[in-house]
Amino acid sequence: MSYMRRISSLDKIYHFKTEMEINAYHYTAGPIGTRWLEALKNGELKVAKCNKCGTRFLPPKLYCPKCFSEVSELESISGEGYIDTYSVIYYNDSGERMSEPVIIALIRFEGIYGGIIHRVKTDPKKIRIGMRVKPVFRRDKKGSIDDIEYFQPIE
Amino acid sequence: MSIHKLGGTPLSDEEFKKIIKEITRPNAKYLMSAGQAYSVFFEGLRRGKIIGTYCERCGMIYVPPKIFCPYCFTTLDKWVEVADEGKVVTAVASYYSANMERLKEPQIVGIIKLDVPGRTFTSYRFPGLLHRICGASLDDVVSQRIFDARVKARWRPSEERKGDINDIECFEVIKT
Repeated sequence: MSYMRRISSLDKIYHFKTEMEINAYHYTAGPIGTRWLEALKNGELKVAKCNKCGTRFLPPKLYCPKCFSEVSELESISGEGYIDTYSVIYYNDSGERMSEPVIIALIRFEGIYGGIIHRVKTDPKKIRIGMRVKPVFRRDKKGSIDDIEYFQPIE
Repeated sequence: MSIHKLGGTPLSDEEFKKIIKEITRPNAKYLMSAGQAYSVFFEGLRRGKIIGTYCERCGMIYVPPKIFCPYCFTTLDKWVEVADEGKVVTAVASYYSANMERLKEPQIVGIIKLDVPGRTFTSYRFPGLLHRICGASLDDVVSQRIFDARVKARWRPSEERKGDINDIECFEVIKT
């Protein structure tokens, strides 16, 4: 009983262009996330640490991903990590070819559960899994993951 | 900032202003297809006609048109042109525009049951068209005088019509 007649011509179908009327979303990061972002603002990449089981993890969350107990501590790390997986992106969000490709990678750190996803600045031909990287911070920081401009390979 | 056992972390307006936030504006653009039946309806509006479909089985008329009858589950492919004149079934005074802006003067909007040539008003069921009603006052709505008022479409000049619902500027009250 379904309506199976095929649309013969798309010209006959009306369409309307609209835009989402929302101005902006304001997200807060929660108690631990806020402190983590404040650390980023000071140019420091920290990890969350569970007091109960000792798991150190990223991204920071209020509850430990392993034992579910409440987390209230952040710990400093050297910031040196490695590329666990990556993707080279040639097209932007609207599908246009970019002048330079962007590399997005999952960056993990030795002894840390989880990791963060961020840009890596290097030649797409030279990138490889396991490559050691470190964060490069922006000069003007505002307390955002974007305060890290990109990760760069350690020579 | 205290960590509560339950219910998250409440923030006062002052705290919310000061706290680090991630502010993003979604780049959300939509291209909405009107579908087969509505496309015919909009094309009709461009030509100054109000077009609907009707169900041969139960007699229901749909304006704007549907391609299936939700009462009989049958396919509808019979078209009917209805009058641009009818009666107000229900109306409301709104202090907000369609873009959620606060209005000083209320806008009267309502559901209009249009006349169908060759049929008496009570011989068909009709979901009706939702549109602005002009020439009605707030008092007309509050006193419910607007109900059952005769209205007629005020069309845009034909060269300005674009094939959307605003090709009808509003329904004008011709007799309360």
